[in-house]
Parts: sequence; C-alpha cells; structure tokens
Amino acid sequence: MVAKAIFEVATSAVRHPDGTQRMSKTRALLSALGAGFGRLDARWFQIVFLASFLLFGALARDFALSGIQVVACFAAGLTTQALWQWGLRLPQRQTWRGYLSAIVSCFGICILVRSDNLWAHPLLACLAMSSKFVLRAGPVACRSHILNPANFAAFAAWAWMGGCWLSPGQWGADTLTALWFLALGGLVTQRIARWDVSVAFLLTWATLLALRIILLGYAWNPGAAMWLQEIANGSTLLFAFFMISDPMTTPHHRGARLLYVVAVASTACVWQYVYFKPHGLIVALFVCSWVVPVINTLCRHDRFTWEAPRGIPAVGGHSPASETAPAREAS
Amino acid sequence: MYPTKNPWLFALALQASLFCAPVYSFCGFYAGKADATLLNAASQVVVARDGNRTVLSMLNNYQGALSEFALIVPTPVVLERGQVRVADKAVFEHLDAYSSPRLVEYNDSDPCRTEFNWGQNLYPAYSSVATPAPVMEMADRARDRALGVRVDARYTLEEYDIVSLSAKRSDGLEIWLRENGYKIPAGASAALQPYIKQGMKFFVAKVNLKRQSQSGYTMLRPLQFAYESEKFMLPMRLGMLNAPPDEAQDLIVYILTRQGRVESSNYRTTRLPTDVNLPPFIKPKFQDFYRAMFQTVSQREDYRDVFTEYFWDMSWCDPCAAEPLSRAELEKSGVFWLDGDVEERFKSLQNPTTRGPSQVPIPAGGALPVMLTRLHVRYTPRTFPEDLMFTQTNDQRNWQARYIVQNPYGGSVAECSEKVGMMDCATMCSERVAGIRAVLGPNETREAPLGAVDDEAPSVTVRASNSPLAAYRGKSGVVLRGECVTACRASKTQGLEAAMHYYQRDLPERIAAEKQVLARLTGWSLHDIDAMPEAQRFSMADPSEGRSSVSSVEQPQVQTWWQKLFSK
Repeated sequence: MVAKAIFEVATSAVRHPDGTQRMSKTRALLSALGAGFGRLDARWFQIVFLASFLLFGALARDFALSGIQVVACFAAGLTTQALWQWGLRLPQRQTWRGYLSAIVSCFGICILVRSDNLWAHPLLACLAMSSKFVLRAGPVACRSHILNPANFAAFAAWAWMGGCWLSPGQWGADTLTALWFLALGGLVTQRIARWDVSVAFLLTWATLLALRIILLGYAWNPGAAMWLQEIANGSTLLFAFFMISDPMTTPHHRGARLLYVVAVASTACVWQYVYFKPHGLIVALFVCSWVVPVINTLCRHDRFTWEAPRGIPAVGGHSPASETAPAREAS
Repeated sequence: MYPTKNPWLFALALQASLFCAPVYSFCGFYAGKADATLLNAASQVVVARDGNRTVLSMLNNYQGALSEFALIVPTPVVLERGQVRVADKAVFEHLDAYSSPRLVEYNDSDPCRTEFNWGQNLYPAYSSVATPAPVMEMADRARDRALGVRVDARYTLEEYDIVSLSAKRSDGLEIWLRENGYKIPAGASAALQPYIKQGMKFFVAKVNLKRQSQSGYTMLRPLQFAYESEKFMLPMRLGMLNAPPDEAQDLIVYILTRQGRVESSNYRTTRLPTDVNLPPFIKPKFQDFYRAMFQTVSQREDYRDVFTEYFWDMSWCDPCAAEPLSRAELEKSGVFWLDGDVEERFKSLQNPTTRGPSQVPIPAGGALPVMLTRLHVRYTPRTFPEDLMFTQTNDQRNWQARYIVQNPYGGSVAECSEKVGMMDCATMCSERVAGIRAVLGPNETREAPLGAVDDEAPSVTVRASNSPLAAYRGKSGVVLRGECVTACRASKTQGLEAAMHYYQRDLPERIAAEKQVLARLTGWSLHDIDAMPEAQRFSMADPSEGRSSVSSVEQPQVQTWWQKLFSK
C-alpha cells in the first residue's frame, strides 16, 4: 500500500506539472505512511529510542555501566514479568506484547541507575516488575499499577539501596540535540503514548525554571544559558517522554491528567530548588503517583490500552478495545 | 621534587619487586605526577562534607598587591566568629600531591630467556599467596540600613579582616563594599543579585596589612568555613565577573566524604583517560603531556565537562604520588567525622571556645572513613552559566588517572646471541643428570639402557606419578643426558627467537602504538613526537645506537661448537 502510494506520487509529478494534484498525492502518501506506522504498538518506538539512548550513552558518553549489568537487568526483568504473567495466567503471557513493557522498563533502569555491583540492577528489575502486579489500585474499570516501574527502580536505588546512585548530569547538554529531535519526532508522529503529558510537563517545567531564574534576578546573560542548561538535560528528556507519560500510571481523564502533570513538575521544582534536595523529578513522580488511583476514582474514564485495533491509531486515543481489556493486564 | 626517596615509596618498590611477577601487574613504580602547581591560575577548593555539614576551604592563588585583595564568598548561612579559621596551606599542597594524575613505570624483563628448566624441577613448588599491602571597623549603622546591608559579624582573624553580611539589594551591597574599601569589579551587583534573592549571606575578607606583616607569612593562607546547609554547591560564577566570555580558567575541587564519590549534578562529570601506555621517552615530559592532554580533552568537550582525576579511599594509594594524609592533616583539611561524637567535633569547628578541650586523642592506625574525590574543571563564563552543584554517590570503587611507561629491556639480539652461545649444553647436562641421580638415588635410574624392569612398589609408583621426578624416573643416564641436551638446545633456540620477536617486531610495534596514543591524547603530531629528544633512542631510523635501542637489532648469529672452537 505504501509502495503503491510512493509510485503514484512519483508518476503524478510527471503527469501533473501544476502541482495541485501532486499535493493531494503527497498527502495520500503521508496518510498511508501514518496508517502503517500507527498500527505499530507505541512501545516499539520507545524500545528503539531507549536502545539508541543506552547505546549512545554507554559508548559515547561513558555511562559507567557494564554489559553484564545490562544483561542481568534484562534477564531478571523479563523472567520476573514471565513468572507473574504465567502465575496469574494472563492472556498476553505467550505473546511478545506481554513483554514489551518489561523491555521498556529494563532500558529505563539501565539508563537511570548506576551501581558498583552486579546484583543491584537485576534486583531493581525484579522489584520494578513485581511492583506492577502487587501495587495495584483504582476503580475496577481502569485498575492498573500505581508506580511507573523505572521511576520506582530509580527512587529505590537512590533512597534505599547502598552501592547505587543516579547520575543526572551524565549526558552533557550539547550532544543531546539529536536525541531531542528524535523524541520530538516521536511526538509529531504520535509515537509517544501520552503526548499531551509530555508537552504539558515540558511546558510547565520550562516555565517554572524560567520563573525561578527571573525571580532570582539573573540578567539575560547568563540567565538564558542557565535555563537551557537546566532544560536540555538527558534526565528531563527521559522523564518527559518515557516516565511521566506512562499511560498506565497517569490519570485517564485528560483534564485531571494535565493538572496532575503540573502538580508533579511543581513538587519537583520545590524539592530541588527550595529544599535543595537531589533528583527532584524522580522523587516528585514517586510521591504523586500514589494519588493517581484516587483521581481515577473521582474522574472516571476509559482505561488506556496499548493494542491498536486495525485502522484505528492506538496512541493518544481511546479505543473500544479498552472496554474489554483485562482488568489485571499489567503491561 | 618527586618523593622517590621517601620510605613509603621505598616500601612500595620493594613490594613490587617481591610480588609482581607478571610485567603488567598493577603495582608499578611511581614515576612522576602532574600536580596543580603546573597550572597557571588554578583555583583550589577543599570541601569536607558529611550529611548537611560542610567545611569549605579556599586556597587563594592571588598574585597582586595585598592591599587590593578582597574575597567575597556567598554562603548559605551567616558565618560567625569561630566558624572561620585560617588553615595550613601545606595540608592542601599535600592533598594536591596525593591526588594528582600519576605516571608509573614498569621495566621489561630480558626477552632473551632460555627457560632451560630440565632437571631442576625436582621438588614440588610451595604455593605462596602474596597479598600486596594495599593502600576574616564598624561603619555607620544608618548608612548600612539605607543600603539594605546588615553587618551580622565583624572580626579580625589572623591576617584577615572579616565581615559577614546580609543584604537586601545587590546595588546597595556593591556600594557598601566600595565605601568600605573593597576593590570589587564593576557590574558586581548583577552577579550578586541572585545570591541575595536566594537568601544567601556574604562572607567578605580583606587582608589586614599590619597583621600580615606581623605574621611573617608572605603568601595568603587558606580560609576555612564550617556551616550547615543542604546546598552542596560552589558559587563559582562570582569569580567569572570580569573574565572574557571565552577565557578558560581552572578549578580543582577536592571533596572529602564519608560515603562515596562525588560528581556534579548539573554538569556532565567524566573521567580523564587512564591506564594508557605511553612511549618511554615521555617520562621527563610527563607534565607537558598532562597539560596537553587535559587541554585536548576539555577542548573536545567544549569546556563543558567536569573531569574526575582521582577518587580513592584515603587510607591508602597504589601507586602513591604522595603519602596519604595523616589523621591530623585530614582534621586540618576539615574532616570532622573521624573520631568520637561527630556532632561535638563539628560544633568544635564552629565554636572556638569549645575547640581546645574537646580534642579527642586520635588513635593511630586503622582504616579512615574518608574518600577523596578530585575534580578538575576548565571552564569559561560561556560554558559554565550556572554554579557548580554536586551530588554524593554511593560509588566506592577507587579510581585514578594513571599513565604507564614500559621501559624496554636494554639489550639486543646480538647480546642474546652471545649469551645463548655461551651455554654449554653438554657440561650443564652432565651436572643436571648427576643432580637427578643424587635426588633419586641409584635404584631409581637404570644404568642399563634397555630391557630392565622397575621393581618399585605400587604405592611408590602412585606417589611418584604426581611428583616432578616422575619424568626422570626409570631412565638410564644416557637417555637422560640425551633428553637434557635436546631440551637445552630447544631452550637456546627459543630464547633467541623470543629476543628476535621482542627487538625486531614486538617492541617497535608497541612503541609505534604508544606514539599513536600519545598523539591522539595530546593532539601532538607524530613528527613532533619523533622530534622529542629522547624519542630518537627508540627510533628505527637511527642505526647508530647500541644498548637500549631498537635500532641496535642485529641479525642473530648462532655459533656452533666448531665455529666457537675455530674462531679461537
């Protein structure tokens, strides 16, 4: 179908030199591409993006992460996911769909957490995966896990585990440009599950940081550069596109969801810039996540589903399939 | 300059010679260091922090007239008398020496090794596990109020006149400072404003010239502050006031913690290249190498990175660029958690009236719960728009910037050939066969070459099969001599081949690779590297050198016994 559209656009350029016909054909091509792309589970995009993030970081930015830690993290994460799914006899246990979220979470843990031992990553992966099946709340129609696994792992690593730490400044600002383009590309093509959350968070966070710099009385120079330094950060990017935008742990009602995002960003800002405590975003999301089931109970809405029915883009929308989604699907 | 004569290093060298059998083992000989003195204008700061308690020491590298000197440090709290002390600069110089990037050297062993062990492994080897021993006049109050400045404390400390200020307006603070004789750069108010808005106080010091002349010190001594604050940061932006936007400055931060390595939370922290082999001729040029390498790596990252140069448990070092700091020195550098009640000790740093008596005698020896992180930043006002903030990690893995030179063995193929030629297999074998027979006893070897049957008891045979002697048992003297001579000749050929491989292939390839690494790390051209004075000794192009030279490689001349005989 896509090949046919490409062929038609190519031939129309010869047959219709006025351009109007070509415009409609181009639109047809884009729409064909969009339809094919739209049927893909959004988590594939996440996996491709996170894999490139991890590879880029480990190879070019010296992430201080060993291959064994990555392998152990994935092995433990996927095994835990399998054990829970088989134990609970969940329908997706025998398909790749049942493991996509686990892969995404393991990538997140590897990118965020640093450790001086080999047991921390697999242990965190086990805990993170298990948290999806154990820590569940909300109304029956849209009951889901409370904590984003990668957020839980990062918080646990920082707060409770010796030998682990988070390195928020590890990416360096300049080399992130490419990754920002990729993430924004995903946003434009609606490959980010809750794109409204990502956009709302980035706008709120950027505004709060700008306000802080203005209120502190910084001049344009170095104020503007400071602001860019704080925004253009790998941690912020990862947080905006792959953590707070997790559709399973954000309120399902859009209005409530946007208010929730503003609350998370504000909490992080206060934690980091008023109390001078580290890792504001991770801590704020961990704390605020516990309120989401309450919000979901107060503002009832359809549950999100990753699987897209044929012809209907899965991402950012709510499909009829969500009505029939199993209440205990922990993906 | 290098502490190669001190006993610590001597002990290290001794240890290396005892335990380091493989040439590439970790315990190399300390050969040199690249300390902060080689940088023109490096600011140095020592931070000792545990929990929210911080002892900050600032080492002034001020070069101008003392009457012009003014130090303004934004601090989270008002620093009262007693929270500030004048520290001993020597301690910080020691800290620098201890943590600076270091050069270690190893020496190649003689490649001309004729491992002719035949007949010598008569006794089971005893396995010995060698564990290397690790290792600062009151002004008109009304005027102050008009300017929005409040003097919280004013005192004289040694050679410093100190004032702790709170300010409401940055322009008022700038005027106050000028009216009170502080030489501060124009436009300082813009830079001071954000600190005032954050509720920070100002620690201001200038030199009391009278006291300074009485003290006898010609250099300014470091100032040390003790305070409690959640803010783990360094207000480095204030120092950039008059600097051109692209002028690079150096800052070295030594952070002493109890828990683990410290890194920046708002800039990327990376590590210097380490454990790289450099050509042997770089040893006298090591400081030039370090300067060029640091410039190359920091420029490559556009002066946006913080570089870790050292992170080590303060109890030991390997190899040691200088001895670890003693407990007394650590206390002088601000470490307050070594002994006894930590709270009591920190208070003693903050309150001079309790300082004296509360000193707890420090027991000698034992591991010190102190980790040292040495961070080096080369920054410009453009690339470091924000103050440097830190975070303490749980990382406890020791790490150091360490560079290695591997000195080639000073010989040649010709020398090896001569050495091999002097081995007289026949004579040596006679002695070794005799040695075997002496150990085995007359009944364990047969005089008859063939046909004889051993009548050893089965138990002896079982025991003997695991013994090194099993290879010799039950053979006649003639057979043993024959085997010995074969082994001897093989070892001669093997030794000579090893020397040829070493001098003609391995060594030139290794030095060429090391030159490439040197060129990559420093940005020097290979031509410049070859033009270095000592480089010629290792150049294939110079055939005039004799010993210690790759160019002295000659074709092997294996002399037969008759050649030796006839040449006499």
